[in-house]
Amino acid sequence: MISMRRKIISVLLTGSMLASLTACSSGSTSNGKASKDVKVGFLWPISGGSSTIGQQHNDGAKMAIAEINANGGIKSMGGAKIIPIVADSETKPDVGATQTERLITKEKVSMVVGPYNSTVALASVPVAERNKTPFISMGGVSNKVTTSGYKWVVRVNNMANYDNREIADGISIIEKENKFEVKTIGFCYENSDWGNESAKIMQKLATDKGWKIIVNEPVANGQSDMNSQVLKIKRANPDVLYSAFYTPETILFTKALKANNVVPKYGHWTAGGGAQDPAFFKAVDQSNYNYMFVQEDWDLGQLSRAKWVQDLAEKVQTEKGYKLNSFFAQGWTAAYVAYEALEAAGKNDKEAIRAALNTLDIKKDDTGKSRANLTGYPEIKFDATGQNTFSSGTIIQYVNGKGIPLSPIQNRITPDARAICPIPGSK
Amino acid sequence: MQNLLVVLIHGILIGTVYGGIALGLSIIFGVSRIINFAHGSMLMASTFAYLGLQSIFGINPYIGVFIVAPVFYVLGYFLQRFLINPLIVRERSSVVEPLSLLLITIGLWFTIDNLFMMIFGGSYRLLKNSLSDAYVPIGSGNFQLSKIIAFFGSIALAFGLHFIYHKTELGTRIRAVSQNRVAAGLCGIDVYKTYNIAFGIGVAAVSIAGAFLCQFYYVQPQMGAVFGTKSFMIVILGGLGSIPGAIIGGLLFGIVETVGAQFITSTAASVLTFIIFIVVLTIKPTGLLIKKKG
Repeated sequence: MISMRRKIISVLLTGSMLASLTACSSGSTSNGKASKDVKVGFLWPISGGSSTIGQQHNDGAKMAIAEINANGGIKSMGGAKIIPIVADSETKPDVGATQTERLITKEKVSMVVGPYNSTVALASVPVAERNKTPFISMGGVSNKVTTSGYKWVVRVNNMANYDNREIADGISIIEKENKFEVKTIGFCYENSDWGNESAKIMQKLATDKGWKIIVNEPVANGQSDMNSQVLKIKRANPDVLYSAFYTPETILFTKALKANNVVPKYGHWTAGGGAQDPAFFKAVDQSNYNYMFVQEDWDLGQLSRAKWVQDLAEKVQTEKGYKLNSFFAQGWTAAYVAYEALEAAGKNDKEAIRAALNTLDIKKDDTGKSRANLTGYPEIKFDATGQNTFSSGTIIQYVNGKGIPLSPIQNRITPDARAICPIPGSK
Repeated sequence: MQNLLVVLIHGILIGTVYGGIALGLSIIFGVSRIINFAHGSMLMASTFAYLGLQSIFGINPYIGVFIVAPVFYVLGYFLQRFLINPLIVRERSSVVEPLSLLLITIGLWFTIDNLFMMIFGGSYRLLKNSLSDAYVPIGSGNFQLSKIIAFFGSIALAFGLHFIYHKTELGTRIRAVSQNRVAAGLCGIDVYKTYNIAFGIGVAAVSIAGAFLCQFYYVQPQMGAVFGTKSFMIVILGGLGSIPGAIIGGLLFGIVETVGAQFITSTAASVLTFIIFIVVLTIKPTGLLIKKKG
């Protein structure tokens, strides 16, 4: 009886050992496959106030990842594929932080890319920092993203300082070329991290240049009407009007400017945001943005210069139904930066990826041999704070529905391109 | 001075639009004591309906309202009939404003918004027709014709609802149920059917306001949130269930926001509306146009 029991026990033990061995071997197989492919988290505002912008970032990133994977994946990791895990920040900082935590702890991503909005970046980056996970910031311009001493963040795009320096320089270049003198400036911007910081920097630059600030209007998100702000601007009548809004407020603001016949003498200059969103241009009539100056977060001139960018623009138009724009380009480039870092790291290790990001140097390539730098920044190279000091944008002016690159001068399509300024119809 | 007059007219125009949107909410609360959190979503859904009618069949929203409003009435009627009434029956009249009713309209809000987001995406759409970009010069100001139409339309809507409330047999039933549902039931009034009709009228009313709004405001799945929150404050300020109260509350909001923004920042002017809201409720908790019972 005892021997019978021993036999049963030994059979059960052997069985369980075999089962566990099988489990181990199958686990190592699946683990081996899992460790081969690399999960990268993409955090964008897929819904909420910046949804159209976030969706375009996401389109760019996903198309880039598809291209990378189709071209053999990460070669230094034996052809490992990148698996994009997309999360929606809902354009809310708290959701962005929660999603970052989820991407890192639950989805086990090797790095996080995103999140466009500065407010979301400021809430999400500390989460990545705490979890010692590389964070490739794309879109958010708040200086604080890279000036707060974080070790695990790099920012590919402009910081607010650069954006506004480009606008101030653009005004000065056109002022000189078209022989006029700006005396006054008015500000109307969204009351958020991005809007407030951008306006503050621009106000400092304006003061340094001797332009008198005669109206300063921060505006809360979720406006139902913007006539009150526009009428205030009309009364002040500044030479230059500076605005910084996301898409919904850009629609309402430009419509209210038109309705109230507000045409600033030396133009309406926007810090981008909604004024870069194809959804804005699709929604409003051309007369709402004619002669408007926009700080674009990429080199728009590439569309005329680089064949590979033209081909990609055609593909985007066919597959996504909109024009290739800065948001798509930023999503694309951010995904490629993630890939280049993984390629350089040679292993799926967060510390190694961070080290690789710090030494990364991606050049602009109009030939298309390297397709990473769709944003057209002269270079992508991060300083000790994690900021890409080579990032830059282009000041364009919309004339009859077409964006004309004007500043910096090297980004002009033709050297003799000039701004239309003073603006026709201004008083 | 002339400039201030222009600002005031802008405030009156947008304020009446706010009031027009809030009317439906006020009716629903006045009758069934249900706080319809999905009010903004229903407004949004109606604007998509107008957008669809115009882009597919070329029907202007001012004509389309004769199709959309009856459809929304039926939708509202059946929402109350099959979604809300069973909860009221379950909770019985022992609880005046049951929590489950509050939660179901919140659920409806999120469901409708996300459904539209899934189907139509987050893009912003503007209706383009001969009226949407027409302007009328008044004094030194230039006013959108669609906003002037919205002003008169909202006033007409308020009068229409006031007429139904006070001059029809249906209105008498609705008022009886809103005053005392138990007594109304004892008098032979079908309380639940009256709830259905009131909810239907409220949803139809907001869809009519949507016809005016979509002529000058963008159409987007989350646009309802902008007006939904404001509508709650307007309805409470004007007096829950009061039709003229909704219009007066809306006007107060519009004027304070617009005129106030000429002297302080628009953000501060928005805060001012909240301060007025708190002050009015402290002095007159029933709202501006509702008399205290007893």
